Amino acid sequence: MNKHTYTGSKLQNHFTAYLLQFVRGKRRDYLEKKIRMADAEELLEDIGQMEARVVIEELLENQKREELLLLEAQGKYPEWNKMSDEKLMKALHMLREDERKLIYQHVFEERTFEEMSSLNGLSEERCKGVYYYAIRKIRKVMGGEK
Amino acid sequence: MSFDRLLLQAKEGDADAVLEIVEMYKPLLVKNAIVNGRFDEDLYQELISVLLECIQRFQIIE
Repeated sequence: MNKHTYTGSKLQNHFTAYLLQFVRGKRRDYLEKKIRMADAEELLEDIGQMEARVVIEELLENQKREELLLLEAQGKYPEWNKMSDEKLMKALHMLREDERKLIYQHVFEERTFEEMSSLNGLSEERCKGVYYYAIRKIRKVMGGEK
Repeated sequence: MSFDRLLLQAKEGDADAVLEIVEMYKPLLVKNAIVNGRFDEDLYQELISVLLECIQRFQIIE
């Protein structure tokens, strides 16, 4: 038995109880703070990823637009410029060749992503990704109307 | 030395007395610094400072 075991001191009991109250309070605060911080970090990561995606999309879109303008300056207009809807035409102009091909295959030829995957030598996931990304782009350009 | 005297000395700023009280309560602090079965050093340090503050703030009523 060492000298720090129970001494029967009333004062020590009071002090221990007093201390325990604060120790438990501190522990609770500390754990809550830790959970809050973990949540906040997760949220920040999400926002960071979202922003990164938006920036990349904008960059890509600007790049496409410039390429297109360059082509038009050289007198090379895309084939689909006979379409009547100007906005849709503009949107389709902004797509890459492979994006246009995928949209054509899926919408007009009514092929499944599986077929498109083997046709184009891309994975099914990649086909879907490119397709939906292109659709989103069109939607963005068409804007306001939907 | 009785705890009463020790606490009194610690309150008056006796470093040795404070140290002895810290030693005395170490097991209690360590036990409360365990999170999900792991000892949390940061929490332990927080609890040490809680103890030091408690030594200062505890009022001895006879």
